[in-house]
Amino acid sequence: MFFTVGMVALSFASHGQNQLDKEIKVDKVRASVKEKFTIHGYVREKGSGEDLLGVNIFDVRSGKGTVSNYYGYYSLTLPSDSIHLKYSYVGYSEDSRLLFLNSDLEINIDLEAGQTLEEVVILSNKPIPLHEMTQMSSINLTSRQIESMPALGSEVDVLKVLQLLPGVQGGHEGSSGLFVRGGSQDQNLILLDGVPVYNAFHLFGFLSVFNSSAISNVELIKGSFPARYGGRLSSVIDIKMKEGNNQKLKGNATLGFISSKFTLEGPIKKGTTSFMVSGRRTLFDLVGKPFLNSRRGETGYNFYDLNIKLNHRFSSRDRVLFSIYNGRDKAFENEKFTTEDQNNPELPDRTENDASLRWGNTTSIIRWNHVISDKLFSNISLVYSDYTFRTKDRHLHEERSLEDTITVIRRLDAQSGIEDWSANMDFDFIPSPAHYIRWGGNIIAHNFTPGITAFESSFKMDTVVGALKTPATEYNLYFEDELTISSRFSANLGLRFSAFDVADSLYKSWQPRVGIRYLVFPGLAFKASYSKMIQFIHLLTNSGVGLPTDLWVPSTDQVEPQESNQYAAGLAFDLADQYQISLEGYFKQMNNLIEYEEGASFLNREANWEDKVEAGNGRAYGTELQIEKRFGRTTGWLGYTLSWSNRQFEVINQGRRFPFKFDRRHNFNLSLTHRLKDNVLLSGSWVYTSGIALTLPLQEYSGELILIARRGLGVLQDIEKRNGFRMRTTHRLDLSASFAKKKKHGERKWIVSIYNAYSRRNPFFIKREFRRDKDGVHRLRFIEQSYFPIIPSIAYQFNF
Amino acid sequence: MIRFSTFYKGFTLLALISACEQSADLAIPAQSPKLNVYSSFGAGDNHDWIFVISQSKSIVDTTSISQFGIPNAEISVFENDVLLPSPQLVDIQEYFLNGFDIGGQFPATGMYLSNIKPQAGSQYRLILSSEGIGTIEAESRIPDKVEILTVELDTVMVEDVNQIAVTGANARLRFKDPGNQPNFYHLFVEISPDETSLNVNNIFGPQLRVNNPELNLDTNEDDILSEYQTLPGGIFFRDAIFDGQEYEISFSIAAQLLVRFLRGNAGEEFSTLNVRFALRNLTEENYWYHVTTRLQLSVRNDPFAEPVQVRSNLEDGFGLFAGFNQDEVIVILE
Repeated sequence: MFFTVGMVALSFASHGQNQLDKEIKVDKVRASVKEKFTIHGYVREKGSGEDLLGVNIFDVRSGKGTVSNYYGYYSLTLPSDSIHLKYSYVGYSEDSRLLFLNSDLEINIDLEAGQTLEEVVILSNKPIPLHEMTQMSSINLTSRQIESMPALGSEVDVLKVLQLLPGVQGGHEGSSGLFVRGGSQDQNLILLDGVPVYNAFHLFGFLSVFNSSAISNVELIKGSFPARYGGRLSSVIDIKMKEGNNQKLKGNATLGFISSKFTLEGPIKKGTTSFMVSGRRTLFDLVGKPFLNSRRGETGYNFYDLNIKLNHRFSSRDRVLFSIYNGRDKAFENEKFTTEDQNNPELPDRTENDASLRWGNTTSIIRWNHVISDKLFSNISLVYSDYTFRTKDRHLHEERSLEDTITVIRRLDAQSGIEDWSANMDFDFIPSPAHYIRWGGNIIAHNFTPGITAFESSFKMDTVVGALKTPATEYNLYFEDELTISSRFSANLGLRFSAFDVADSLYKSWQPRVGIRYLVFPGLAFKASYSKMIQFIHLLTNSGVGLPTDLWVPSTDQVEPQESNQYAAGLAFDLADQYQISLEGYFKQMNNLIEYEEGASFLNREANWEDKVEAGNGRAYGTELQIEKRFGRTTGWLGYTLSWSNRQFEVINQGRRFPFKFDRRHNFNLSLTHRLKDNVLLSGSWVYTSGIALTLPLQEYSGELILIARRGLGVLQDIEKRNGFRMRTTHRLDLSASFAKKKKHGERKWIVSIYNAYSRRNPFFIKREFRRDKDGVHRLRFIEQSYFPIIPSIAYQFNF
Repeated sequence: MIRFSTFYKGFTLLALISACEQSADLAIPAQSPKLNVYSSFGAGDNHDWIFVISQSKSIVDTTSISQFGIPNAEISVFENDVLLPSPQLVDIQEYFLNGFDIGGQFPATGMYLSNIKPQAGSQYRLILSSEGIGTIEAESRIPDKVEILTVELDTVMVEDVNQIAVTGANARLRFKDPGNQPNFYHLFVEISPDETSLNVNNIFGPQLRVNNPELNLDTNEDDILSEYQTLPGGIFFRDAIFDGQEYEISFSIAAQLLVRFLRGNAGEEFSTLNVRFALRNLTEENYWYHVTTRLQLSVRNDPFAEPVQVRSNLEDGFGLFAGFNQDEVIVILE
């Protein structure tokens, strides 16, 4: 049955207090009532042109909708009819369109960010209700949420904000390490604009490499992994860099306690081409120079990072993005001096020492987004990622005499790292609101350098020890469909195939992924998921804090890939459009985990790493509760995690199961942000976590006589259980206040932070010390050292 | 300029103070002492069967370990379920140390000597008790002897602790590993000017360093960064890569006297030099006890090393009660 529609010029009812729906003119066409048409386009931020991912787009009348993808693109196919489209995104004013749909349409939407208190109050926007999403075990944070959180030294750190979420445990006090659902640090796939970052830490693990000024969005997935993600067992942390304002030049500069930074973004060609540059550098070495340097030489530490992004739209269908990140840390000590030789006072001996540690990442991606059709979106990219750690130690000593000069030279160069090149193709196909299909694949060429040490001395030829470079190739293919089966039931079904070719070994893996959602009653959904994950690379670490000495190594014929099976189930509840409540339980079995064997240390570099590791299994389970409020003057979340994480290795701990080092039974956090005035934002977070596990000897006893004779060491220690002890509970209150003021050329902001406001002595590590008791007897004591008492800080920021 | 400098220093000082160190005690629960025995026994007449018995102490107790020997332990030893005569307490200084100062790191008492010579193929069981501490048990056996086929001695250029190339002694020892079973070995060398002074209880054997990298020792003796420092008491290795085959192990011997003899310039000091090469076939528990003790001690000062648990075949106690079988070759240099 056909009918004809004349020129449609719908008049729009006002929606909200200050918004009018826009007029859409639709040409006269013939349309079928059974015919379907597709609306597609991009959703961007008004004023900057920044893509908005995860925007909820739905037709109020039919109740059908979709979500914008990673690049802000959306596609919604509906039957020809009058429709009322709403675009909503948290923190942004809502937009809507009323139209009669009788042809395919391209609608690009600019959503306006809520800037002031008044705007926040009137915003009718809301996030996608939790109960409507099939995806579970996932959290999305915007740059605004991240930047509003209190921070150590006023240096906002994305990874430390993620530590405040349920299911995520921090490492040692003050560090940026992440341990998600009982997994190890290497089981987090940390992506910066889609590029893996292998060492995400500056400052020996105390600060992440992600400059918050350059970030637009962060998504954490800790379970129910869609098939498009793979390569790690425990989490995906997808960090998206800002694309650069394509409307006007903007920027900011911040002078902070830990680092100072700047960001500049703007159009190269308005509306078409934009750039973003952001840089950051610590000032430790410059501030500390008068104290650390001497006439003999200098000692210091510094880090920097630089983010650059270029974004060009060729047309509404084609866009190219290029981004690069480079960051480096350097700790150094060098000295030169002479010492008088009594036999030759006129010819003093000369000594030179030069030692340094350098490490850092370089990542880069060039990406082409192409809208093949209204329903099919493609993304093709070339990716480069490199992490290198180098240590250098040179010693020169010259003893000079009238006859000759004796020179002693020692040189040690050690290097480790990983370099990746990869090509990726991804497609989004949205044939109808009932299906969101994604497929794609990639090839990754890995090049591992798992620890090479070069020695040179006056008396010895150059020697190179350790494992040589190991190339490996990884292949991934995936297919997933997010399907709406009924108004109550939806699912995400996917399958991923991975293969890893290294030396003479080829590993293959099929990884099914299933996520389901069932609407129990309006507002409440039951969700469940299963994910099999495989990880072909391993991180060898003694410290667990993200030290640059940690080694990335591949799976080999001796070391099999890690794999996990994770099951999760839970409830998602949206209460009065104000609160989102989620309660989840999970169980994760991990196989082929590797650990250094007993007594192994990265300091022992001669042995091949494969000879120093043991393979075993892990098990993690627990429950997580999160209550989040995303609107109004006061926003924030409350999170609680009850969890267990164990490991079992045949020859470690005599084969008995033992707690994972960062197994923490309870983890409670409360994070709140309150906008006191237009220009005053207060925030605070309180964290309470069980202490981390550690291994301590409890008793001593005598060993063999021969050991004493040779080493003066004969007393053995009884280490009854691996990780059998717990440090004290950690809790801490962090506060922050920012005061903004409009100035002639922009806005200045003072950010005052107090880390550990009540100066809780949270333990950092254990030190053994002999101390005298009250009764005067010397006793060995285990002292919990704390390095982060109350630390106030202030930062100055200028936005223009 | 002065003002700027003052501000500069003041700011840095403030930063340092605000990040100052704080500390708190970690409570260690009280521990009940456990019995500790060391008895590694071999077949044949060349070895005395000794038992060193002591008790453990809390890690926080700073009393010298020499105070924890047990002179009144009740020791019952069974050979194939037949009770043997009890070992007798002996004076540790007289018997073992010969005046050597052990710096309070070894029990001053608690050494017992058995007059029984263990036999290959026999099964042995120990029941040890001490009033107020408890009772522990262990079982072990004497494995078969593995014969040394050949021994060769030579000189090679090696690097000393100052990375200076010097002449060193090198030895190659060949033996046939019994097949279809895991075997555990302990190789050590003793050097003496005359054969009679080769003492089975001599604890001053030279340090050895393995030259077979494929052996992949369970101890950390191949650590290139720890200078030329091998662990005492010889080399412990397994037959994982040569099960059932003839194998030649090559190793350096840190003994200048031996080097001088090999180079023919020993001078007037000694006319002969006796070098004993001993290869012990260990029971598995014997091997792992010795390996893990060495491993624990070798990494004690490395803050990044993974902790090492010493393996023991004594349930609810510490130490070792395990057998070995030794073959040896004495090379006389003139």
